[in-house]
Amino acid sequence: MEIINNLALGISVAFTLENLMYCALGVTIGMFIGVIPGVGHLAAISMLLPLTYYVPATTALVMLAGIYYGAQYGGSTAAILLNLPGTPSSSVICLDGYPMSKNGRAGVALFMTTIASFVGSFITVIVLAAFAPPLANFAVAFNSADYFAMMLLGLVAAAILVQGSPAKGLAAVVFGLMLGMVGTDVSTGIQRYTFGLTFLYDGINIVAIAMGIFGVTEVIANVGKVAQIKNDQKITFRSLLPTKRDVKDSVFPILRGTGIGTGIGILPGTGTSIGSFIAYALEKRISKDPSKFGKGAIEGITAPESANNAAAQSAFIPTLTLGIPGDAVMALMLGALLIHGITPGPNVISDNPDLFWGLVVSFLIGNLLLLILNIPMVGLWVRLLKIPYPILYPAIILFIVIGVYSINYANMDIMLVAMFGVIGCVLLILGFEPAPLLLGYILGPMMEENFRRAMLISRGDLMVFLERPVSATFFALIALFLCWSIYSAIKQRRSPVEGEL
Amino acid sequence: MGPGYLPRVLGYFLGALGVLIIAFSAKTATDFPKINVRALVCITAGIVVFAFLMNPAGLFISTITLVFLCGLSEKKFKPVRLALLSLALCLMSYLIFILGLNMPIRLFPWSF
Repeated sequence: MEIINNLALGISVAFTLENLMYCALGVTIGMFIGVIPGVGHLAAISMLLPLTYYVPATTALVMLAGIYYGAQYGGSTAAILLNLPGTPSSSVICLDGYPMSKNGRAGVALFMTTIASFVGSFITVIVLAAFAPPLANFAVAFNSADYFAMMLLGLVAAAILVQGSPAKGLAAVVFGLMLGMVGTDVSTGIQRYTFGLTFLYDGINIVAIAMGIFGVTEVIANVGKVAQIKNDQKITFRSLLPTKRDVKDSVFPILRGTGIGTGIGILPGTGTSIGSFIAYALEKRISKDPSKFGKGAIEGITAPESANNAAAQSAFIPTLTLGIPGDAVMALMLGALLIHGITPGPNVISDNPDLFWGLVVSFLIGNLLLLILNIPMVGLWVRLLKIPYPILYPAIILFIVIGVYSINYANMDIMLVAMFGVIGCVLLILGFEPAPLLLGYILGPMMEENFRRAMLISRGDLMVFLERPVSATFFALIALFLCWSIYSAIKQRRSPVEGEL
Repeated sequence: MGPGYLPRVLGYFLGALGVLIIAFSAKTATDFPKINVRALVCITAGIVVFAFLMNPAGLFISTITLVFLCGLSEKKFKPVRLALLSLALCLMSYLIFILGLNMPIRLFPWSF
């Protein structure tokens, strides 16, 4: 039985003291930043990215992943108690979670969202373990032309599915691709975009970009906005217990939410928020009594909560099997792999089975830990909401700058963080999403390498991309995506003149 | 194709997308989201000053400077709270980065 051997391998990896410790550290940090509004998981993951230089690749991924799915658990707490989403994906939870809390059912809401999170994650981890290896086996036969086409599809999909205008999404991707080219060209040794500055010869460090665009920008955008929180609710252990009806009403919404989240998480560029919105909309549509939504319907919190957790786990499927990150968090995961010299792609699972299976088992452990962290200790997390933001953000900025400094002990890296913080703010004002930019930055160098290799093999014939069935399929999908986005833009505005790409 | 091929193609793409965005922005434009300019200036300044102070002055002085510059982005300047916060953060970063992770970071202007 292969699966048993694999799981045994995973258990042997995940249960080492170091990995258990980092798993616990990751989920606790994730829970912490999830609970606190104004600190997102992207900021936290980029803040801890430098730490991955000090630990093995598996351990690094175990911790970073823990932050990601831990934040999905924590995000609902502030949404329920204060009507403030702790993470973007939990903004849907506000709709019914806050009314529940006003009705004096905050405890039940917290308990049920935890259970929904756990079920959603757990099922999706099993899906990941079952489907990722066959998918990777299929993709092993890809050659460089297929790779290039697949990455291009990932970028186009990420740019178009992102919120806001697809043209802006594509522009962000192109800008990211250019950032990825900064430094010495691998094949010719020629400097590109370095302007004669020696510290750019090795390229821009991923940590500097991620910390600037996600960490610093997020802090700047939140200063003064996150008000001093007054929260006097006491959550007793007894108030957590749901009624039989709550449980009965939640079983199918949780399963539907998990299904939606898993599907959405696999698509590139979607992230966890879209999954939870769709899950909420579906529950409202199929409900016998849609009027109860917005007034504290239990389905309105359990379905989206299981969806966003499922999406957080299933996002690992394309990342680990194809090397295509679905969102910015997954791009950072790939960055962590690259830091350790592991090239993302279909070979990751077969070349590093300990990494993949260790990660899968660590997901199960992490989710169990989160269940333990959440239910008995809910009062502690609620109290955390009282930490004022003015104390928090200087600490975040400090850890960002020390973190980036610690990589090369180069103060120019800190300057880059400041620069990307400003760039991130400009992007925010102009309505460009930063996630496609990071995807472009990560995939850019790999794409260029594969493009050049394909061109070398075909002796400069661009038709090679349409002759191979796999790459032709990907290009057809790209064309389909572009047509669909033009069509929906036209349909939305009813006039072809006003359609924006 | 040489090293300049892809940058050039991407340049054309970016230009074309820019034209598209400009062409349609007149009709789709919404108000710019308001950003806290004061926080942008203070925090960026804090990071830049930290970058220049880190090598000559060491971790403690840079940390204190950073915390106070960040604190300027609040409407009310609270020196006592910032002083306490910066001391606590000095201690924390000493424990985590120097004792915990053994990073070779200079602490004071006069150390190594």
